[in-house]
Amino acid sequence: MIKVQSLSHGFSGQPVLDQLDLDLEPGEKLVISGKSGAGKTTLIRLLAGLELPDSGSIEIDDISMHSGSAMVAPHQRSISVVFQRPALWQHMKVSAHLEFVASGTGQKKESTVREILQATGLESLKDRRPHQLSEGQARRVAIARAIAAQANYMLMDEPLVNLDQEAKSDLFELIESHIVATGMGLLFVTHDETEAELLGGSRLWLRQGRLWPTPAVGRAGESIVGPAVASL
Amino acid sequence: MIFGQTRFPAIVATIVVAGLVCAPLLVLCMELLWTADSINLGKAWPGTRGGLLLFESFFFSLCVTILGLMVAIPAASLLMDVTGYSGQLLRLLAIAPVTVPPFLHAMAWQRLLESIGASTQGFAVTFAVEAAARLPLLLAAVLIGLHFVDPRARNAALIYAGRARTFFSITLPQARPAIIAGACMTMVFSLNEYGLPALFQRHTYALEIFAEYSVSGSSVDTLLVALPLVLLSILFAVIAIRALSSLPSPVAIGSSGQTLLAGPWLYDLLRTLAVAVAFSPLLVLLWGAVALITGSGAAPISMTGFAAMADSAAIALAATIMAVPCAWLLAENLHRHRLPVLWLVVLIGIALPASLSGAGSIRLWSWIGGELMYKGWGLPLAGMLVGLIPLATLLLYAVIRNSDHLPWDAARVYHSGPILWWKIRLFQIWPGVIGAFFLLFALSLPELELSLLLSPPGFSAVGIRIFNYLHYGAHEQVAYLILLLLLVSLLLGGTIYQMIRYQVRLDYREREGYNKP
Repeated sequence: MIKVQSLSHGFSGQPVLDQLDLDLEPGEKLVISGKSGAGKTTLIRLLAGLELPDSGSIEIDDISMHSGSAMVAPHQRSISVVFQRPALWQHMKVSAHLEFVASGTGQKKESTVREILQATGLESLKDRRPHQLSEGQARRVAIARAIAAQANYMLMDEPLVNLDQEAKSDLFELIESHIVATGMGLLFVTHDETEAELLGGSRLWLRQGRLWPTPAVGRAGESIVGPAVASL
Repeated sequence: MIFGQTRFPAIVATIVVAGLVCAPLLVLCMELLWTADSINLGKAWPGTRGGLLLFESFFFSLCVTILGLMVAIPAASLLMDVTGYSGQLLRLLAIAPVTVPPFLHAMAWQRLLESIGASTQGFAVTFAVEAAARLPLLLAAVLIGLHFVDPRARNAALIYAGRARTFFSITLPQARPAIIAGACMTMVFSLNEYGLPALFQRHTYALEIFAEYSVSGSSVDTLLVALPLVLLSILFAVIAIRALSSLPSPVAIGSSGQTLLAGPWLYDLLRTLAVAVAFSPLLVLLWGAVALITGSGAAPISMTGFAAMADSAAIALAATIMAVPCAWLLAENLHRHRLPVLWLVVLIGIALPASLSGAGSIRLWSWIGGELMYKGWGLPLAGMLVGLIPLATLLLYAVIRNSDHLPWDAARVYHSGPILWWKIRLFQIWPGVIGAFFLLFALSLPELELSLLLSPPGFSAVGIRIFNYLHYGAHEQVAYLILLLLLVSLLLGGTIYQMIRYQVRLDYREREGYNKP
């Protein structure tokens, strides 16, 4: 379980996250939505160990991730991350991306890579390099790479941004069939309400550095929650 | 600190490298503290004569830099507008002399001035030749800056303003960090240069430091005399580093297509004249080398000339091979941890005049008792590393800082340790690493100032050999040596510019290189 308590973080004196609490169970699907600049990427980076929080605690599977200025390294956290951009390694073929990640799992590299290439529909692209891929294909590789890590939790930071509807549907299917089905805990952050609705699962709203229950929206777009939550 | 990662070797290696760079200065400072009672601390204050000389050297370097920028900015703007292979070739040729040692420029200009019966002494001549020698560096800085400018922003501005206004209001401000960094490094190099002014009988503050050590032999006195120049150099190095830290990312690549538009005739005329001036260093160098050979009935290089070239190349290669990995280590640490102490190490290495680091190296190794260091290449090699490591660190820091951090972060999620360096980082910055390698080799091959102090008896570096011939009368045997050195330098300079282009393209491709099925 990922357990976050009173997490605060800021940049140049400006608070971004303020006393944030969060729980994510294995197998749970949690979607966090929020406007640009709300702190969604910062939250993902803190959970991944790419940034050290100013205060608060992060526990993954009952192990504290940091103490003072020391923290557990990202690769030892049993998490995988899909970033806002594909962030592929330009010199590596598609299959090499999966091999690089799978080599850290202790599993048989070749068979794992073959299975994931098949499952994600990337077999025909396995010998291509990133610049030979379309944006949608590159995102698919990024998700496949995250699957290859066989981690307990997957963090997705707006992985579908800037894609057309058809590419989005394909990748949603991939996420549903290969991530949710494996019992991984999934934390998906987005600024797109449609994406959040499509993915389902628990939903929270990041605003003013904290997580809030999402204000439900009626068919015509009018808020159907109380004024206190709606005002957020 | 990160749990579970073996960071101890990296910390130790960083301390060793930092120690290697700072040791000569630290030794001099320690000696200064121990002998503080018996030495004249007033030497640190330059006095009227020294103050005037320092001001003159500063003014000289400032004028060189400003004049260089006045030519480099309009010339680079026109060179960037030339599209296709011809544009690439023109830019490459204009940049190629960047690694040619200043004394070769001096040689070529002396020949040219003699052939037209003009004076080869005085402020104006020295100033013009120094400006010509520094122009390729400034041109490279402006071109690098323009490479970082987003053509989309420029094209958007062209809808509302003319070419000249767009260039000065939109393009130039975006290129400013690289231009400032280049200008400040030119100031540092020019302030610490004494070989070229000496050939034109000009006295500079950098020469004063060398003279102090040559006459008194006191490394502490040399430190005190050098202190004002070191502080001045540190100031410009700090500005250069701050500018490099604010380099924008290459967000798009492509020509602006501005050549298709008509512009103010004065703007185009000035740019054309600037390009003509920008090519003058290359043309004069080639003319000078040919004139030297044809004019003196030069004999081929003697065996001793070849031996000097081979010895210098071997030291330069060894220094480069040692310096680049050390610099990469420091650059990674600077990028990740931004430790002020590491910045200090880099600053000291860049700002230390060659005479001072030479005096410090001699002191250091005589304390350690390195007898062997005096007999072979050890001492020149150690001295060169003091200056080369910080320079390469600065270059690699800029490259690492500018590479896309997301692929690196993505790799960190799954692995740690050296595998990340070899499998991910190296491929992100390989043009920068190769460029740094060639730059260091090009700078250390004809190295003069350190070699004058640190070369062992019987060893003649190629820089010393050429300088002595130029200083005390040209000798036909050195003509081919000069031509060889010139060609090697031009080749290395051109390659460095190509590597910078590859690096910019690589950074761009990491960020936006998809959608090309």
